[in-house]
Amino acid sequence: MSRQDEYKDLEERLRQARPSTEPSPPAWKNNLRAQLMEKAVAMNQEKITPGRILAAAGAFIILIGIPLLFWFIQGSMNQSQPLSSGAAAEAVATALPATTQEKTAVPGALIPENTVTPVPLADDAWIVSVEPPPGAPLTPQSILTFTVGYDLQSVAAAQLQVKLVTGENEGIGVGTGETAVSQGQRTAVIPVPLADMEILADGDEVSAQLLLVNPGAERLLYLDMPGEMRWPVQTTSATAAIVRVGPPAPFQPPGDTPTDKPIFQIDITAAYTLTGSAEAILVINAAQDVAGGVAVTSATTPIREGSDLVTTTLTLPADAFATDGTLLPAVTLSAQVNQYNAETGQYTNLYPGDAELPQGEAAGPPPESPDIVRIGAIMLDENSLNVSLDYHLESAPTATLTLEDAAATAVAEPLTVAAGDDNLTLPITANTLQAGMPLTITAVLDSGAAQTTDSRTLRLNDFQSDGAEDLWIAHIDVITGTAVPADMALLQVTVGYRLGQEFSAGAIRYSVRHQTGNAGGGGGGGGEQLSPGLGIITFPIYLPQSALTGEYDGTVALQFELTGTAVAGQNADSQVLSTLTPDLSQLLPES
Amino acid sequence: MQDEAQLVQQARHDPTAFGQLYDRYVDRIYAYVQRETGDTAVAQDIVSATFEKALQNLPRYEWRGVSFGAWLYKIARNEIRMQYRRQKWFAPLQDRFFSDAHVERAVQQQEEQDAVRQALKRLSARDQEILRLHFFEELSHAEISIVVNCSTRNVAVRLHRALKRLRRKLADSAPEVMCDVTSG
Repeated sequence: MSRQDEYKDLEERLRQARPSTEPSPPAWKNNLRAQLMEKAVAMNQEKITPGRILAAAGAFIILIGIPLLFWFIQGSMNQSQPLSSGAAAEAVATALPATTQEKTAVPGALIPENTVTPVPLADDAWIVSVEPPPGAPLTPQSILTFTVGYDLQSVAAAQLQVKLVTGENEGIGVGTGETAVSQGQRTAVIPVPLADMEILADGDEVSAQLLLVNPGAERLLYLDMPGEMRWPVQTTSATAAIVRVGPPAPFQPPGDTPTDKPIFQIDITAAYTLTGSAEAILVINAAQDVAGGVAVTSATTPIREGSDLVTTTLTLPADAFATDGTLLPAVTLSAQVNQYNAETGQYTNLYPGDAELPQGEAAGPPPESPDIVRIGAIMLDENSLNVSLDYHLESAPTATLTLEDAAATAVAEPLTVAAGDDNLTLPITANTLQAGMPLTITAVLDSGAAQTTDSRTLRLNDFQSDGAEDLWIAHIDVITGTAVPADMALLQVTVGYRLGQEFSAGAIRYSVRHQTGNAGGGGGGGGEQLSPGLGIITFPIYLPQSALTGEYDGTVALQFELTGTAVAGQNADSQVLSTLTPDLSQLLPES
Repeated sequence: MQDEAQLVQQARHDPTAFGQLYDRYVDRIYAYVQRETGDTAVAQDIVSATFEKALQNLPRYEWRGVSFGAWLYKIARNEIRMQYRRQKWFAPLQDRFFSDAHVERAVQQQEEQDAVRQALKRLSARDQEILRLHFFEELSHAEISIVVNCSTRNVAVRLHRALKRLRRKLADSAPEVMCDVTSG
């Protein structure tokens, strides 16, 4: 079967796989139709028509014109009769407004229904400043901070809201922030995270709406749509930062390549986040001042969309290191993320955004081989640590999968794996894990054409719960600063679990929700499959720092859930065994 | 299509014309929302909100040569997302599509389900959506571009990539299916 036929066949199978649905209940459908028709009629009646304009003009004549005419005639009559004294004239003058007021209520005049004299609202709100300013590109991690001036007069308290909108007629909300305000003229600072990036594409524009809402009556007091303030959307973004530098290990180039000085390799672990692009290249640069300029050595690693830690091996001459094995201060390490555009054959620097692109091989290979390896659960039994690995191999028919420690020494028998997706478990000797000593395990998938890695650091006491729990927090690493997007924190939450042998399989799922004062929030979740036994799993979770510090009354709720699946006959029954809600409120000090 | 453009124009001041648009699309939108949410009560709420919003925003609707239905799909999709956001705290509405654990259970418990559907569930939410809109809802590229707010060309590229990934997933799961057949 040709490739084209295969696709046609697949498309046909997809059409046939369409899930059937129940027809809509006729009563509900008719009822909804009737309601919509009623609303449509009402909306049409509210429109301004020539008849309505005539009716309004008639009402104006009756209510205002006739009393004015009457007052004018009476005034003329009074003027034609000279006042006999100054006191009498004063009495008439002061009486005039009262007379006018009385005569607005014309006896017998018909006041049409729905004639409401509009009362101008005194409430007002305006944008004083906003960061980032209009025109600056917004990325999935963007939080816009609005400083809003407001003048609230009509009610004692209200909600001041800023909405980010996009799309046709700006009808799609992509972020909201709000704060409670009280009567008076003041300013408020409202952070608004860009919340719904899934519906945004590169080139879309986001604008802001400003609202004052009376929360009790759910009534809109003020609305402004300053359409001139627009921000373009850049859905592809990345951040990267070096979080760990390993010790140097001597390196002998393959073959008989002569070297004028000893060469060492160091493992550099970087935390990255990549959004809006399936793949990109992480480049680690080591810049060293040398006579006549700066020598830059680079190493590259393909990365996939999401956030994770990756370890890259950098090869440097011995004179880059001090005698104690640390890098000399003159050697500066930096991380950058580049995206390769297959259509143009060009690289774009995604992070830090203005980095000079390395040329040639140093730019990294085009990400045509998006291999991936990921460490899942790490299980401990009496004799060994069993490391669960998922991999995706595309760049070559086979690759070597190895597990190494921090000194790049293999701690398990290397495996040859075939192209495709698979998961497997590699045992390593448990005595590599000593009490009190952290152990870094790096999985390396090397196809010859590409190399990709994933690392985890664990400790023996990660596997010990304080009590008899099935689920516990082993440790949490908080990564902030340049390693993660501005104002965000990356939590590497390592969860320990114990799943009894009566279950054939299990899973840990987590849900996270954060709220920053009244300025909105967000949430998410994920999960991991696991096998029975004692183990740990690390989950990367991104949160706004303000949610962790309690700034703006921020809160964060995180919950893990352990489920076990027991198979009885033909049926599989899953049940929730344990839930865990760690307190994250004190992870970061309040700034 | 021209007839629909006239009908939309007429519906701005004639409730009967809006009624005709409602009759034309209510079943399709209801089926779409039901497939996305898997819940008839939620589907009824979302469809009601969809048509109410369409009625309210009709004066601002711009005819772009693509069916009025695409706009309704877009509103419905937005309403589904809002519903999802309201409920996702520990009760993810779209678990049926996104949760690996659920997929695993579904694989075990619903063996009769078609391999294509299972493979589809293993794709990313983005890939699933574009395939469902095209093959389940039978929307054209132009209509999908309105719904998901991207260019028609981008829709074609995304569809092709999603199909490619689906094909790969199916190929990966083929031995499993064969095992099931032989053991059954």
